[in-house]
Amino acid sequence: MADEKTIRFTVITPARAVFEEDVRGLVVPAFDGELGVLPGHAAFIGLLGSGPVRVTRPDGSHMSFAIRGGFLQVKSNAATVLTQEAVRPEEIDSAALDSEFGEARAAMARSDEEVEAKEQKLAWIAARQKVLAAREER
Amino acid sequence: MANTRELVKRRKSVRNTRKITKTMEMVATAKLAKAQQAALAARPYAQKLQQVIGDLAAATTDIEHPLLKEHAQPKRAVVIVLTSDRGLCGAFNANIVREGRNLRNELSARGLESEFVVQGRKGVAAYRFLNIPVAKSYLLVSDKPSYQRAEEIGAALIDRYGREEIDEAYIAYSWFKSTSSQAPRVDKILPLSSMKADGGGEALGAGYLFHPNPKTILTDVLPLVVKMSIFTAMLDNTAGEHAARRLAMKNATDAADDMIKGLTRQYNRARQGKITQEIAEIVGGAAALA
Repeated sequence: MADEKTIRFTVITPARAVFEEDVRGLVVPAFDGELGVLPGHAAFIGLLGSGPVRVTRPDGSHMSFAIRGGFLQVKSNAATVLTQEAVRPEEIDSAALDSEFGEARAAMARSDEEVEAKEQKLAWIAARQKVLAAREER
Repeated sequence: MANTRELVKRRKSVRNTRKITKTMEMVATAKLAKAQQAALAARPYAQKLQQVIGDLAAATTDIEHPLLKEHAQPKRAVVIVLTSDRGLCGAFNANIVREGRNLRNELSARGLESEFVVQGRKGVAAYRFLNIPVAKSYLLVSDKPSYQRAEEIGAALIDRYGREEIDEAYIAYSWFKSTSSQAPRVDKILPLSSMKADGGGEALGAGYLFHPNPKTILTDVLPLVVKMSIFTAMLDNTAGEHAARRLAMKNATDAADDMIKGLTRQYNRARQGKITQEIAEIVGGAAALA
């Protein structure tokens, strides 16, 4: 099936399915960098970090949204992201995000676990900021 | 002879009650539809999670994870009990509370001390009455199950399980089978029962590319299973609460209908009796004059 032009891409959170479309390609934030998936990708399971997911639609338009951790599974030309939270840019309240960022940055982390929790929190905020910024540029 | 005015008053009061129960029934029906939808929306995630874990398990030979390991000498268990904040839903809460108490007895028979985490005011009140201490409670949230809360509860459990502070964890809730059938139920959430590749996993397990490696991925994914099982229990419980309330309110409305019918009959009989008596009196009076 090398001549596949699109790949089915689904993003699911515990509460809802956020995205389900045939796309030309997608880029997800792996735990150690970005990871691109094109149609016909080999079966794959990988860990994800927090960050923006970008997809290219069949008509060439782009769209992105933020995810918080989770993992990606690719199997028989279908990519599925399971994540704890996912938001589309239009669902992000930038003022609320700013205040969340201020709070998270000001919070004192006293132990290794707290440092890790803080970093995770900041990564999730950064993910949404990036998605928001990408939207505003356009 | 019954006093007609008294009967009218009682009938009016039953009618008012019927109005309330009828309204509550309709509200519960609407909320049930919403809760059911939420429960349905969570299903794809749970299924996919199971599938991926099956694939991962097929690819790893020696699965070792703190959440899978049974502790040698269990001493302490956490029991999460999900109830509702509001009553008027039949035996819904009583059933779950009973499950929780039975579980506590079973655990103590095995020498385990149990620690109760309760969601919902009704559960907290019931355990206070039963003199069972509640370590942590979540109030006024039974209407809105949220993954964040499930995550918070789950993360705390995982953390303490890892440090061997607790040795087992259970969740008691109302399992939502369908709109007309729910049953109180207890699930064991920790330690996770051994996972086997379910069906299709084995064939593909070897064909996957893993990044970084199956073991690390599994370490990250297993906590999600714990959190998800708490979340689905919450969703089920909310749907169950509304279904139970709808049924209870439907029964109450029907009972009120019967009562109104009975009272109306009594009232009519009394009224007729009174008129008959008055006529008899008039006729009697006229006869006496004639």
